[in-house]
Amino acid sequence: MGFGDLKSRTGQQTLNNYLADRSYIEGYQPHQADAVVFSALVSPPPSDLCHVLRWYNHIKSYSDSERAKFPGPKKPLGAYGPAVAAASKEEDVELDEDDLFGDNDQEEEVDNVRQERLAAYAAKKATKPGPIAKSNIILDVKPWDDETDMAKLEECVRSIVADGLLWGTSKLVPVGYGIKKLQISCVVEDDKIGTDFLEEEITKFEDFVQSVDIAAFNKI
Amino acid sequence: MAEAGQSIAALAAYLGVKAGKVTLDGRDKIPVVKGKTGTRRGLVSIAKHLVRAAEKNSLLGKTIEDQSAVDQWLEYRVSQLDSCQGDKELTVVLKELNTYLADKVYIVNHIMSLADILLYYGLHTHFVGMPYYDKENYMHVSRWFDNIQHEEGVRQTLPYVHFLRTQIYDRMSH
Repeated sequence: MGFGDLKSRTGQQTLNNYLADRSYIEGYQPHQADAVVFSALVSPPPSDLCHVLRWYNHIKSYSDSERAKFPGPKKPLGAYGPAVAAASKEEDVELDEDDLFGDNDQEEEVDNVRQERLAAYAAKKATKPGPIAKSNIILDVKPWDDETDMAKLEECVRSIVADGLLWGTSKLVPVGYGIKKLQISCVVEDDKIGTDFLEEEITKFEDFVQSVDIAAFNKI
Repeated sequence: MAEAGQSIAALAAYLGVKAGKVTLDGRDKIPVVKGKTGTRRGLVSIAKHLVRAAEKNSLLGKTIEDQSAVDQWLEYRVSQLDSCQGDKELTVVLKELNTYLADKVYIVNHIMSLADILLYYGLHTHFVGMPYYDKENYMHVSRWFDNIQHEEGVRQTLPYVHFLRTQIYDRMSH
């Protein structure tokens, strides 16, 4: 799936979101992808979409002939965009979050389409139970001592991937004597992930983790 | 800061030239390189000399305007970034850079320059230990940093810094 209609506001919004942490559409150098998406935009994007505007101005700084010489194969516009990028980076454990999120998105979309098509079930659907029960959990992960590499610890924790588990923000909270604990939040689907699972998985990194506590548990 | 020495070594390796022996002079630890063609004091002059020696003058900016902008940012690295003492001052620098980079891909104009490279080296030590949460707060700096570290040959022996964006919260508002 691509960015949708780049002439519409929603399409440009998607592109804006996509470019928030990227300088180019693909990779870290100008690429044919940039030229393709650039030509799909007919006019400069509005100034409130700052990421698209930045990217647009940067690509515009190249001349037409330079743009034509960007490396990489030329693909149709629909081949670029959020879902494609997520799929091509599947191997990267760090980015698994994107995958989970992408999957959910697709599921929801499929769901929507189904709802629209099966109008006969509309009445039944209206009475179906609400969204899946989810909880927001904040975990305290304590290291062994002040020499534990907290960045590595966080990476380990985030490497845990499971269906229905989504890592959120984290911060380091000083406990005393220079020791810091990692406070990380996550959203879980109640049916699929339990707190026991989380504790078990995190304590498996015994080189880094001394103990795990549940700091807060809220139903969403 | 001792980082100046490391920056010079990494820059020399990237450019494929020899830096020579770097000594740190005085209380302020100003790097000094003694070469056959004379003695150079200070990170900026040494770096610019290395670029000229490697005949990669485009890194210093193509037009006179670009050249002075690059000079200004090199000075920024030495006077603002390297003089940071503690988190508070660093936050000021990061905020400033974040605002500046919001609508830019590279520091000066639309092309990589020596300013990008030296600021990348200077920020690297700070980024290594930064939690994901902070990196996400300085989204524009992070994006720029990630782009520079993927530039061929720039990273040298420095460890790769991971970036991760939490997608559940929409942070587009800042």
